Amino acid sequence: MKTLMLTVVLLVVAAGAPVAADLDLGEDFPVVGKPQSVFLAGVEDASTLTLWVIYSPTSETQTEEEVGRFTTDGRIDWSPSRFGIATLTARDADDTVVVGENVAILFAATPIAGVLVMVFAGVLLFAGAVVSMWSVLSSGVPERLQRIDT
Amino acid sequence: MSEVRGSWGSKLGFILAASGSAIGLGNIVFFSSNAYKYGGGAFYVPYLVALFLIGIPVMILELGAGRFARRSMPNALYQMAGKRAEVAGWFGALNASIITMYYIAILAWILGMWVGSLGALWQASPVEAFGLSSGELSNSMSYFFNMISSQRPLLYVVLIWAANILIIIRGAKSIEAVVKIFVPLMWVMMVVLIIRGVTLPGGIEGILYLFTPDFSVMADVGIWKGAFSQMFFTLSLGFGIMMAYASYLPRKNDDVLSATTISFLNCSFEYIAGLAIFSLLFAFAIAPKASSLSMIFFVVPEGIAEFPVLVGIFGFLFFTLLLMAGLTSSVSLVESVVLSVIDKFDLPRMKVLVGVFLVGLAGSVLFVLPQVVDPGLSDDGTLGFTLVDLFDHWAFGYGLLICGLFELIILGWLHDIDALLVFINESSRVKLGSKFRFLVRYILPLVIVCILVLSAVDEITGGLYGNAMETGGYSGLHFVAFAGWIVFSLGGAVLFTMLKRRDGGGGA
Repeated sequence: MKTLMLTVVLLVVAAGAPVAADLDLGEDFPVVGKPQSVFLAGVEDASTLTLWVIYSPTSETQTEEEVGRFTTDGRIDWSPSRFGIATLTARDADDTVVVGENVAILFAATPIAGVLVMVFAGVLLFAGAVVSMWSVLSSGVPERLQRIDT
Repeated sequence: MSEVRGSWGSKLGFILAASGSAIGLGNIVFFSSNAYKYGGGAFYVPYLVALFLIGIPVMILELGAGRFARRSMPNALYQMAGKRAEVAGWFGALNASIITMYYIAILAWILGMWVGSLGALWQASPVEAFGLSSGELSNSMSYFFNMISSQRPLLYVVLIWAANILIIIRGAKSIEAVVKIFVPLMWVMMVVLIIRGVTLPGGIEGILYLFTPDFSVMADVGIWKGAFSQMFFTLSLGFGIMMAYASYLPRKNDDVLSATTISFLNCSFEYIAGLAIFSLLFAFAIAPKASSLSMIFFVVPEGIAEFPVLVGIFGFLFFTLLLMAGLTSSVSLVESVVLSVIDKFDLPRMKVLVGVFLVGLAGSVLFVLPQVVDPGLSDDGTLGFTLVDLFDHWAFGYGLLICGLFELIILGWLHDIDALLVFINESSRVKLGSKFRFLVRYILPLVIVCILVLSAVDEITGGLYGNAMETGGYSGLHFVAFAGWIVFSLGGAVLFTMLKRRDGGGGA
């Protein structure tokens, strides 16, 4: 069990930023490879801040990517490169997180491999469970044994 | 002293009890955490391989050995291979008792969250905690840290221990009666959560994330290590639980079929738990925290809090589910320790229960100590939570695998493996042959040794686990935990082995 260290610090730092700062996406669920706008509101000069994306935060496959600087009116275009959970952060020149937002990035198209693994695993596990359970229950009345410990 | 040993009233009772033991917080919490940690689908494929390569074979061995010796782990291993093997058995039993102590501490915190789920946890205004002002933490996180830094968990720990003792007071019979209600209910509740998860926008995509393999990261040995460790833990292997439960089985039992059924039931439950949690993760775009426990204490409650309606009911259902899953596993942990002592010293069950209750309660209290050691939450917050973290690393991360390795060496090399296979084959429809023997003697030990060596190398190069933790004046706590684990498990194992046996023999 790992400690809470990394993300709690991130969360506290991000949440401790000016209350008015806010990151907003054009769409609730961004899609891999599809450009969309990210809006930053509630800061005096948005052009001093940079948008960063952490894909799969706190996982072993975590990667970080610098998207670029916001325009003065607090806008930047971003095209997600990986599916999964990601954390968007607006950071200042000292790399301090001003505001953060989690997003779930969707696949560009239904992943066939994922569907196949899901169906294969589901059929294997549930059919296996049902067949073996049925075999256990249909294999006769158990011998009831009372062992004497001496 | 002579006492009648109980037996399972039905095959269904045994299967439900064993699967109830295997299905626990590990399925709901650790599976989802590991699946997320190792990249979703990149984890699931190695996990399936691990089920067939290590999960089912070791389960067959544990059931066969328990039924063969009709004893709990230390005594079964003694009977099969003498004193050296008994040390290994007690190491497993005492390592399992450490896990029992903090597992029950975690259950006490779950009971605290369950109480919160009746109202306070879902209140609209954020609660304050640890000197951090309102709004700095999510409600579930604030509620959790407020609760663990109060005296309430001390009461909860007593209640959970009492519940465990009440459930196992009559041995197999009372366990069977409880699991026949709890285990099916757990399935029903998880299905309710899935239905809610997949009907939310983004829920289906979360599920696809869990199963879509990312071949670019699957070559990483760490992912395979995580999958194999998860399989060992989720099936309750290396605890001595399956041997203890199998010792209650009738003379004739199909161990191959039983092991397959328990493993499939366990992994099916893990499958649906994954569906429920990953759909919620995506629907509410929640990034799990670094801690495994964060999944149940923060992530899912945050998701539930976002439900448009019936927040209280879903929250209550979720924590009730966790309590049930945890209780069916903790009773098996307690029972395996109780049975180990009864089998060796031939003491009355009630006397052993009282002893285990008092020692176990003292240990669990240590893990719920509410003293705040890190108000900034840069680590775990309280002394108790920090100790859970440290002991879990050793007892869970290393102890179970070491015990599993000992079992394989004892059953494969020190004991006559052919005699055990003949015994298993006598009442099994699927016969185990030379390939299974080769697997037990060579492949499985090699796999576990590789996992342990890779982990130890990380430990040596990165420093002893926990050395960088903030523990508010408690310097060297990480070393105390490591030493405590060694002394309790290994030192205790040597001591228990040396104590005079009063079970009337049955040695090798």
